[in-house]
Amino acid sequence: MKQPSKTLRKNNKKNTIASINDLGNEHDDSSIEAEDTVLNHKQKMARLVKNTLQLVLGFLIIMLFLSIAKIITIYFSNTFPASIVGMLMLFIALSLGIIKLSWIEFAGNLVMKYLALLFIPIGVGLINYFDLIATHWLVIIFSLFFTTLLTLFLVGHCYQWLVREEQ
Amino acid sequence: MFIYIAAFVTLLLFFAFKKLYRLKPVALLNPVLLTILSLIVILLLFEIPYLEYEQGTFMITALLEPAIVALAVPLYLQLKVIRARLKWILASCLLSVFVAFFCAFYIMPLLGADLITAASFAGQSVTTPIAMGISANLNGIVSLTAAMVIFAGIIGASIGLPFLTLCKIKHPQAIGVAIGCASHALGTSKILEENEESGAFSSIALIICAVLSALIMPVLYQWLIV
Repeated sequence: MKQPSKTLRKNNKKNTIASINDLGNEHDDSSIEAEDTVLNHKQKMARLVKNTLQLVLGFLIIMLFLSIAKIITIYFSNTFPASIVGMLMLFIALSLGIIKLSWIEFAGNLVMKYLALLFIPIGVGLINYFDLIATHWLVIIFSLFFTTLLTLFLVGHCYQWLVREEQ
Repeated sequence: MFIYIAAFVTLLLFFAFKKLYRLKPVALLNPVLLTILSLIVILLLFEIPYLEYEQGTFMITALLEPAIVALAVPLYLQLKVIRARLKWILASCLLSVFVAFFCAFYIMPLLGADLITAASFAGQSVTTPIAMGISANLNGIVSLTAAMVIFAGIIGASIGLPFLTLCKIKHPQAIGVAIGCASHALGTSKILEENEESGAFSSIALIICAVLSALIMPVLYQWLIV
């Protein structure tokens, strides 16, 4: 099951890269020839299609890394979160130039913009834990303030001290 | 019925509150917090079981893991800028991971937290998707962690900067790293408005801190706690 889907993915990737390149050329040609209004419309359409293709390409690359990471983390009996391993692998691939930044930049920026949205459903899950919060509310509030302020204090001083030592 | 509109309602509320936040940028009007609270009120009011909502928003939750993988992009972009100071940032983030772990598993039980609650506290200063992964890994309560992360972020964003000034931490990079480690993306977005240098260091600290937490905490947990 896995093997065919992977080859299919690879083909898809090639196609999308090719079509993005084509699109870029087409876009240039049309901007020279066409009239203002037509050009605007055409450009808009071209940009829309280009963005969609870039998004699809970025998503496919991300899913590829995530699936590889899932397979790897199974060997460590799931001690490490697969998503982090996938992120590190993608980062290394970017640094080595295996993956070009332009392939996933659009998808990456989009994710950063709407990341907050993704954890709302899980936050709503709090509804199941009202009892727990009622019994532990004091510890929860204390932990929030204590840990946050202690981290701010220690990390801030640590970094400041390290930088001063260096100079 | 609600199962079909759950995702739509979530999106609608989120973008409405986002607009509100843009008009009135106060940390307490955080769109995520307001969306979660109003959804809880809606579920309680119409007596909709959470399970139905959860199934309805399955698509949103499924995007979390790919979203974390995509964090490689900002990390890569930032690293080029910050390479010279990288080892200091790494050391500071490492410290922050140990502080968070120590607080959750050694100080909070003194105040009556059981192991499950303590495990939910461990990831509270890390960005939400990763904090939830950590919480699940340590057998904590994922929803509680998600809520605590948001509140920790609000605390850091609202009183973080005055507190740091009070503690005589003035170096803009140190402020950035401290805020990034303690109150992740929420604090970062706030500090970015004040000082761009702090903002850049804050955003890299939050990612490094999250990655280190996710890699170190499960090992510490199995070694020291279980």
